[in-house]
Amino acid sequence: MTRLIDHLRLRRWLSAYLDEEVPEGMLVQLRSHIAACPTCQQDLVRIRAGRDWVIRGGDTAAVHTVHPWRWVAAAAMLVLAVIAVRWWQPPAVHAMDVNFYAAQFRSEGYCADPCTALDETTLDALRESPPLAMEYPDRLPRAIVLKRAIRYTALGYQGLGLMFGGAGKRIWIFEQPERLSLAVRDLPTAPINICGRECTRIECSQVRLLNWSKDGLSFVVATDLEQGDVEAIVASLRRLKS
Amino acid sequence: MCGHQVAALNQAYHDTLFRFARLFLGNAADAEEVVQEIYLKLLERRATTPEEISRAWLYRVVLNACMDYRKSWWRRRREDANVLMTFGDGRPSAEQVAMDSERAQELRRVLQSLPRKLRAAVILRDLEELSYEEMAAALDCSIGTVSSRLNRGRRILAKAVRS
Repeated sequence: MTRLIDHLRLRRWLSAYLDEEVPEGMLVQLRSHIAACPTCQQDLVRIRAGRDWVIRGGDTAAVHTVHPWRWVAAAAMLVLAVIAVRWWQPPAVHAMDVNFYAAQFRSEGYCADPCTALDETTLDALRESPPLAMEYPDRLPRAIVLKRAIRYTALGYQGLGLMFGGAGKRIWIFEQPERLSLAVRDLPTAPINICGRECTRIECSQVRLLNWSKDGLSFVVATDLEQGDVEAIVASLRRLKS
Repeated sequence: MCGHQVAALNQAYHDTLFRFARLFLGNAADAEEVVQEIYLKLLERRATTPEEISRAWLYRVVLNACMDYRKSWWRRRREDANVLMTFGDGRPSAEQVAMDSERAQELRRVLQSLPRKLRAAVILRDLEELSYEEMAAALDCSIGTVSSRLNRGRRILAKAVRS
């Protein structure tokens, strides 16, 4: 009921919103209402069409709603926008799994030096983080999105974890700018080039925190993705700024 | 207002008053007559004038004059149209010439399909470019009502243009 009342109250201000004449105290509320209300969004399109037609002195060609092909173009743009959003979603912070990460690091003896701190963060925050200054991919393969980004602090070093996923599959890529001594236990490995460096892929059927280090850099790739997807993701990573 | 003041008003605002009246009424002859009526009213002190003339006041005067003219349209049609006073050299301005284009005729035709209050709001905002505050003063209503009238007017226009 409240939502309906808000809708009726705010709807009359659509023209003022379009003309940037909304009273200051109301702008935020109106903007958020429009963002969540398809009826008002459609109404706004109609009102804009009427306004633009008058402003352009009755130029019918300038009114978007007149020509059917404009609807087709708009629909195509919408589909492309949806695809783009699904393709690349901005990273989000998920606090609930921090303990899971920590447990993974400490479990099964993979990590000789137990982590002392583990924080989830955002990709933007990571980009601005001087100790871990790296270049990250602007785009990822289709249907693969960055799910989580975490940074961890162990004894004497810091590390960074990125979890990608999509289409029901998950992949972990952990990059560590400083050496981390880990053991690989009875798992098949294969050579792989990551960011221009010869590394080793650790094959496993479950998502685990495993890594391998060389030349002072350690990488973890534990995946249940198809081989091609892994290669594509790895290839999309930029060179580390060592 | 004395004759000099009305002449000065004519000099400064005739195009504005005429343009609005023409858009509102839909034709030049009626618009010219309405504007002449405004001058006459001012000369005969039948209209109160503020100390400082604002755009909002001007549009309010011309809008009221247009409304009055519409009310007495049939009566006026039965009478001879006497031009009471003539100001200016009678030549059309550049804006008037531009408004005579085919597109402008279509615009005026569609604007005529709007109810008067909505038409006034649309013209004042989208053609005369008044702020909402000025419009509220000219139309003697709140800013919310201005927005509401614009909503309705623009929706009708969008529908009319589509069809």
